[in-house]
Amino acid sequence: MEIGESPPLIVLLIDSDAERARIVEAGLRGAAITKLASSDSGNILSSISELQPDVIIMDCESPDRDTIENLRIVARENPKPIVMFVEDGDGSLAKEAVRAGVSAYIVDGLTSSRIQPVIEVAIERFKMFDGLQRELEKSKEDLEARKTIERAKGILMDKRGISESEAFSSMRKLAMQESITIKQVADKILSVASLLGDNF
Amino acid sequence: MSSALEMTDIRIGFVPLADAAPIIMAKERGVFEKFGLNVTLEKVSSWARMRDLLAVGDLQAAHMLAPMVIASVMGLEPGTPPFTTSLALNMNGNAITVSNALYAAMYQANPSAMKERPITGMALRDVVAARITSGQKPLTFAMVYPFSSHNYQLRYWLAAAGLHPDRDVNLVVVPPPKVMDYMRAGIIDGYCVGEPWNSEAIVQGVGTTLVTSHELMGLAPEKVLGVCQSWADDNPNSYSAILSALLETSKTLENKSALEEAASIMSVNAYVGLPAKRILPALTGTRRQTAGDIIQNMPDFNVFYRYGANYPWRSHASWFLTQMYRWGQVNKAVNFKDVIEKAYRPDIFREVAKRGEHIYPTIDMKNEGDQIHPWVLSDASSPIALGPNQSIDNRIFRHAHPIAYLEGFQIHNLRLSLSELAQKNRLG
Repeated sequence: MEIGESPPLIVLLIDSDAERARIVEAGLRGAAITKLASSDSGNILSSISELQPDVIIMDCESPDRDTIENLRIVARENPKPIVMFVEDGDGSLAKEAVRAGVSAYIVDGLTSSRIQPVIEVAIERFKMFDGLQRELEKSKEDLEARKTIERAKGILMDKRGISESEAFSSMRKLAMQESITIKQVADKILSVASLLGDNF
Repeated sequence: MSSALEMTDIRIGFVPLADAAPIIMAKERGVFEKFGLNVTLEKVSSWARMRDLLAVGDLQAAHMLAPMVIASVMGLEPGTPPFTTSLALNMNGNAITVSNALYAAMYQANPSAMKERPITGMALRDVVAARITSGQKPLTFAMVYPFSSHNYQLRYWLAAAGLHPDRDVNLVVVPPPKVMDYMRAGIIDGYCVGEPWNSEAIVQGVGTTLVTSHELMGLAPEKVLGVCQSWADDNPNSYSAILSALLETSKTLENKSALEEAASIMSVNAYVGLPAKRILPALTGTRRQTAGDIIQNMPDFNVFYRYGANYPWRSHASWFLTQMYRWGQVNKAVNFKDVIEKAYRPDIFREVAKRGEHIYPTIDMKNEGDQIHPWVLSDASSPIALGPNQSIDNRIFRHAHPIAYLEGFQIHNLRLSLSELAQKNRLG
């Protein structure tokens, strides 16, 4: 795959080192939309939700690492490849980066010309790794989702006095209207039922 | 015993929080040197980074969230070798703080619930229900790491009021020094973090503390000293020397003037980087704000040594494991005993304590949440005075029955059947 094909990649750069950020931006010029979020201030969660980046590039010493890692655990449906800067003495930190599930790493001696190839590799490796992970998780999650949907359906049938197929089609309709999954609709129904009780 | 140290140059990582005090003071007061060690401290900016530096051997020991050790043994931290701990650094020290706007909304929604002490999540539940009815977006709460006491404490408090933490609110991870920026910007509505980041919200006028972890779950385990199991096996004497130095330092932190000195030393940028007078209340519990408008002295807000605070109770590890299951962080059945015996090594603690003439428990497990008054633990080298430990919903964790404890929770996110888990945990 090649960066530069449309649409352009959206890259979120989380780094407080201005010089390094400049090199990355230069390396991606014309090939990607880059947004820089300084590690020192600003909040990464808003940057991610506004930008929906294809790749996140970050400093391994950034205090935002825990935030990013948790997003990858929670947002299992939509994880992002991450490229991490590592200042490296003996090579062990590069191993560390890979072990931490980082798709690629850039050791020091960063030049603009290396940015694009590294990002390409990161995305490719991420796709491979993510594909495997998803297969492992999918069957278990499908089962869990089915259970939630069944419970929500039961609540609707009970509270509204409707049939099973009516309950399901009203959930499906809501999912389409709000462009969310049926599982998410089911979650909402469970929330409403448990918090509003008889006022539901 | 004066066996030769296998390794004398030791690097220990700490996160800039009040409860790094024992590590920082052991270094500053030359206690590590007294035990023959040349220790370098490294300030680490995230728990993920701490985990990785320890895993690759850049650090020999780490200020660590207790559940991270258990997660590493369970293989839940990808690629990380198993860690272990033989020393807890403190008990308590966290709190749940909400934005001033949310505090006002809670008060308006349910003034009588807000007058209960400790404050439960009942008023929050009313706010969440009203937001659902009016179609507003869910409230967002922050904690520090998925495998953290903060995560489990926040979830426990929410669930005790009938709120499902994965469904009724949105949970995110935010590094503690940034929680205030996030709250000011309206990205989060509340958080559960350690100190000084609850007090800071009050000082800066950003938020209001609802409940301290001590009120939520008395004498709750907090940070530990984590090491790689393989390193501990290969370097038993150096490991003991680190533990001895930290235990000795922790004992001195029972003294008010030592805590004042600690606050002053930790105020420099290389450590916490906040004025000493804003760190000190986190260490002493004096003039602690809780339940919104209450200011009180809470001497057990953070505990470094008394009550056998440094003992790595395997029942604490077992409780953390129940919460990992409860919230769906694990979907594979394991034998609790296998995991906690690797993760927590009270046998090593006892050896170190004996040599340093500290008192120590002689049992590995105790029940949690069953004491409403100060009490005395007699299963110890000499009796140990302990404090009350009840939880906000008065639930008791009986260490011999972790699965029965799990069965008692109506709100959960279990990702396996408890009978499967029970099967793995049958005796014999």
